[in-house]
Amino acid sequence: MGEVVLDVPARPEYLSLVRQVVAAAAAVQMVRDERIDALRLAVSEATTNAIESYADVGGAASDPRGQRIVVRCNLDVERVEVEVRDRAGGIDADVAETVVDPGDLDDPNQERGRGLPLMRHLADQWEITAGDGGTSVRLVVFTPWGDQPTDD
Amino acid sequence: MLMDVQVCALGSWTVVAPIGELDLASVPRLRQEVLAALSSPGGDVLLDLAAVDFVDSVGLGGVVAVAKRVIGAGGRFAIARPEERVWAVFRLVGLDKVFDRFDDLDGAVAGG
Repeated sequence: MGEVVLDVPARPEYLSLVRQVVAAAAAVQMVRDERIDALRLAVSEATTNAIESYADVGGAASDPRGQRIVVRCNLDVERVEVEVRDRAGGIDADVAETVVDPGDLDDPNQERGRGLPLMRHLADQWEITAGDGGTSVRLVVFTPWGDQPTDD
Repeated sequence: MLMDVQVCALGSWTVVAPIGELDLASVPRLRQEVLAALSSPGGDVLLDLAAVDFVDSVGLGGVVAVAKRVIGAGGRFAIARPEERVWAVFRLVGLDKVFDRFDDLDGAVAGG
C-alpha cells in the first residue's frame, strides 16, 4: 500500500491543489477516469466543508496558523481511500444518516446543501467521524481490481 | 483555480466566460463579474462554460445565485458550451432541467 499525505492551510485557494494531488494519486492505481472524476469532486466537497467549518469555530482553532487540513490518500491495488481531516467542528456525524440523493433536493434552485449528497453519491464508500478533535471524512473508490460495493 | 473571466457582448447577450474551475475559491469572482455585467437593468447573461473544466457544489450554487440575480433583474440567463464532464455534474443534481443550454454561441444568438 502506498500513502500520500497532504497538509495544507484551510483556505479556498488550496482546493485546486488538493484535487490535483488526489486525482494524480488515484491515477497511480489505475483507477478509471470516470471514477477519478467522481473522487476529485467528492474530495472537493469534503475539503470545502473542512475549510468552511473553520470559519464557524472559536478558541484555539480560530488561530489562522492552526487552521490546516490533512488529506491522506491510501493507495491499494483494489481501492483508493482518501481521508480529509480538519480540527474544527464541521459536520454533525448524525447528518450522514439523513443525506438525500443529489437529485432529490427539495428545491433544485437552492444555492447550498449539495455537498454531502454529492459525496454520498460519488464515493463507493463514505464515512464521517466527528469528535472534539475535529471531523474526518473518509471516501473510498474501488479500482477495476477491487470488489464492487453492494451498498454504500 | 480560476484563471480569468472574459466578458463580451454578443447580440442581445452579455457573454461571461470563466476560465478554469468553479469552486469556493473562484465563485466570488464569477459573482462579481456577472454583477458588473448587469450594470444595465434587464441585461441578458450567457454563461459560456467552454473553458471550465471543473465544477463542484459551491460552483453550482454560484451559477444558481447569478442566474437568480439576472432573472430577478428582468434579464434572461442561459448556459453555453459546457464540457460533458462539467454538464454531468449539473445533470447529477437536476440543474440540467433548470437552465437553458446552448451547444454553441451562434445558437444562443439565433435563439435569442
